[in-house]
Amino acid sequence: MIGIDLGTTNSLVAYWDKDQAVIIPNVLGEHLTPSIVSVDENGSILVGRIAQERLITHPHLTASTFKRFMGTEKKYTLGAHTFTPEELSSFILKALKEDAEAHLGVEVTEAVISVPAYFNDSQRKATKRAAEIAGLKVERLISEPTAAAIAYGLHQEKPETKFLVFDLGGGTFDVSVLELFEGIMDVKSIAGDNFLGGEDFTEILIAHFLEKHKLELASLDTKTQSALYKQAETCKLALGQETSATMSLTIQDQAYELRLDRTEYEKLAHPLLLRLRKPIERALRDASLSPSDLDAVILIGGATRLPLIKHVIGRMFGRMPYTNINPDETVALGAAIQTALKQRNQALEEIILTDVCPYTLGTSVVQELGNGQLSSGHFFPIIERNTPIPVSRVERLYTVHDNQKRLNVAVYQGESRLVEHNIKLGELQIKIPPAPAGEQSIDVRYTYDINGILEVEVVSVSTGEKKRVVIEQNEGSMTKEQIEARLQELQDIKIHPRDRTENRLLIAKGERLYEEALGERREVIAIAIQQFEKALLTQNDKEIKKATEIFKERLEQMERWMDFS
Amino acid sequence: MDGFLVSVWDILEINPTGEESAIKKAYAKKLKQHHPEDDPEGYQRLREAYDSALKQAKHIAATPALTVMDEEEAEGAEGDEAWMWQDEDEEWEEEPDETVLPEIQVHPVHRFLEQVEELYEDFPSRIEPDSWKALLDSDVVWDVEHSQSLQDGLISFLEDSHYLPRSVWEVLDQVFRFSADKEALLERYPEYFVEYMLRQINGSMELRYDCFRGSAAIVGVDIEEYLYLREEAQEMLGDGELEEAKDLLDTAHEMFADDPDLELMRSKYFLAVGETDQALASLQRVIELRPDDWDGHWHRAQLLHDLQRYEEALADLDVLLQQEPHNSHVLSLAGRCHLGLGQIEETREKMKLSYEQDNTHINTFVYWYMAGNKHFYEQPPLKRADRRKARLHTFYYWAVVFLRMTWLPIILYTLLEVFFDLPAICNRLFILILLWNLWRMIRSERFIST
Repeated sequence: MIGIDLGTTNSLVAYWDKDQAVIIPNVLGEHLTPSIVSVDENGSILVGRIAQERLITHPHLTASTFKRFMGTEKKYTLGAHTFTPEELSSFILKALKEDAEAHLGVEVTEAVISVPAYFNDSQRKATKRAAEIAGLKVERLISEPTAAAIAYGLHQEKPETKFLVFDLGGGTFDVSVLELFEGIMDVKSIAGDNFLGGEDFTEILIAHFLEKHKLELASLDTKTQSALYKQAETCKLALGQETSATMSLTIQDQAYELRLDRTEYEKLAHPLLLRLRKPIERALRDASLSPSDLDAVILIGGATRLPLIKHVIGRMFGRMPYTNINPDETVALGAAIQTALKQRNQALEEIILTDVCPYTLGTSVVQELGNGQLSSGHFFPIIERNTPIPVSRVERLYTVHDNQKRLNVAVYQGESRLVEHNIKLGELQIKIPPAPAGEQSIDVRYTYDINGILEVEVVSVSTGEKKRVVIEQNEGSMTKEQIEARLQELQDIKIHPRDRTENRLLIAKGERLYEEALGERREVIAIAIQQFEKALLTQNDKEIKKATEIFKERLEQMERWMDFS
Repeated sequence: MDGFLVSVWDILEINPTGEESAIKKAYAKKLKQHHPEDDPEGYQRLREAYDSALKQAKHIAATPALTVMDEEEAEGAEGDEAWMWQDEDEEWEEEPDETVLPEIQVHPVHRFLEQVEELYEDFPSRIEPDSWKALLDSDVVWDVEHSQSLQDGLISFLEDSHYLPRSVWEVLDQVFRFSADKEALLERYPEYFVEYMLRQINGSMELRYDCFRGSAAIVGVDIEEYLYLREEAQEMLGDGELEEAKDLLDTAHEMFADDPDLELMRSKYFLAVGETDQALASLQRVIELRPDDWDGHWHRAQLLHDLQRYEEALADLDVLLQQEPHNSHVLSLAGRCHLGLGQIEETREKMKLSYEQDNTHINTFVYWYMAGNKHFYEQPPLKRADRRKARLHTFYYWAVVFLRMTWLPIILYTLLEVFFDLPAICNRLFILILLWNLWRMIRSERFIST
């Protein structure tokens, strides 16, 4: 069994090796595999670093940050193929699975996969389906902060500790408050913002650049857009190290430049930083704790590396965060520990994990106003947010009209008092015998399981008729046969062979540098690529190896030049 | 109730206690039997018992005389926290600055609220969003430890002192995110004030403050009183309380006469009581004070249109169209002015533009067609050839209508005639049908053409 951190920008895979969790390197020997998928000229799929290089050279054939759209209807068209976000995720999972199999030398069919704590029901199910498409059975969906907490808790000397996990990933922001005591890892509360992440801190730079030069994003072609994105990303990271950085972009032979110092960037990011506060306050409030009760603040997610985020956390908690963990790898390690816990591994002192439901779940009811009038669309909570899970709750609902023939139970998730502001997850109907208003009733039972998946059961009290649904938001649009057929189609799509990844990456990188360079340098790169491709055609291993070394060195040189120019 | 209570401790298999650690230990022991993974129901029962025991423990620890206590009281204890802040608050208010001895450290939230008050009292700074931005960036605002009491303190201050421009409300909203979590606000603060704050943030009742900026005329004016009158007048006007509104408007107007928003309210009042000249004068003043004021030009254009002073109305509308060339209300009204002037072509052009923006705009539709009819009415008589063509078309049209009505009898009659020898009555019947349909056709033709 393996543990997978399926991230918005990067993904990792780890496993439990006798007495510790270990990250499995990918075919290039790296721990992080970019969550990017690209389709090449022959229609086969490229994943990870190669796809990342192609984001610049072939943006229309490459998809990234699709995790943000998990569980939605969004479609990505890459060349001749069209994919859903979960199908794209399945390619990443498949690549990780193959890396693990190559490393461990055995077939891997089961996994623990981490998801943002604030992922809702349909997003969780989409993740599960992605794993199934990749040929992995999901043994457990674990919340990312919880996974990080397990990894952190494993090395804690103190028997009892309360802490907050601050998870700012590429696309989502989660806050979890946890308590570790007597071998129990107890999640006390979760809060978050599904639309705030490290990518937003890049996008403000893009917006600023465009504004300064009076450009419109829509007027740029996709290649220029990708180049701008990369410039912004580099600039963001550079501002973490230095006091100022530059973004530059060439559009139709005209060079645009923007120099930015840290204070300016902080000013731009200020509105985003303010958005970090509310979820923290809410999580603490729901856990009935104040910041001074916390023993530590743990940071995970790549975006927490940004000094401005660290600084703001220092201001919010009046202390510096705990820094002894690697924000990129902790979640995957935690997921791997979870696999061992699941198998009740001997080397591990048992940790029992108890989680909570991040949203309030309920139904829509009609309310009687004082004057005898009825007003519909009120939210009636059945499972309150931050209730420990698994949990099953039942509420009785009554008819409001005489001789009502059926009752409609709509399933909503959210915190608003009116259902129109909440998210509708599904609906079911039940027949009831006619009777005067208020005499007939139904029992509505919501069961939220340990994987965060909701089941709703409705029973008519008088007839005993029963109806149940497992809430599946996206189902209905596809029949079982269609799903099977789609699976078959996906299976037929070629995936670029793993053993040739390095060579492919070098060519992709060469192409990217070619795009970024101008004039003479372009030609130098073109010649280098040609020579390398020629060597590949010889099929002579020795020669290929030699050519690879030379080509690699040249590209590195080239990249260094370009950085300094 | 008692049965349930006993079982909480029974489930945990310990005696009622105020010691948290004992409860935790017992829970941990039982959790191994009711693992959430294997025994969801058992876990839920255990968990509920555990949470309830922790709640009660707090109370037991606080009141050692009681050993077993009522669940509801435990709930009550929790409810206490809700009014805690008010209590704290009052404490601060009871403590005037002078009594705070220098060696006693002032609570940072208290110090912050003092700064808020200082800023509020300094009117020229108060209306600048930048001064609020600077104040709200202080460490105490970022500190999550104080966030609740700070927000409580700030909101209770604002309840009494809320005359701020929208740009400042927006800064406050950005920091405290009021509009993102209305539910949470409603739990803590009075509903009327929550609604008030959200209205100020979204700007639906915005009264502007830029006229006070650097104005010499506000020197010596009791600005707080003026702002109070202005807002009160707005509310009265909204409720249709014209008498009260008039008094408030007059008093305010005497205090300060350079406020375009007040002048706009005055024009609304004059319009409501039918004093058109006064309304026009007020609107004139609005435009003098703020030459690009949307509402001023818009209301004046409407009024001038109603007074049939179309040329002047069009001048106002031109100003608006320079600001928003695609506003369908403005385009539509301009079209109507042209219609009033008998400029049919211009009307049609304006209405077409308006329709392109918003194809559900009813006024546009009605007047566009009205102009269309006039347009054709005024066309010169058709040429001979055209007229013949038109007549031919009409004939074809009615021929088709007639055939549609009678095709079945015709076919039936023809078929029967071919295969059988029909009695005379059939011929007559057939002719009768033809005549009847012809009559129906002529009748409907007349009906349509009238």
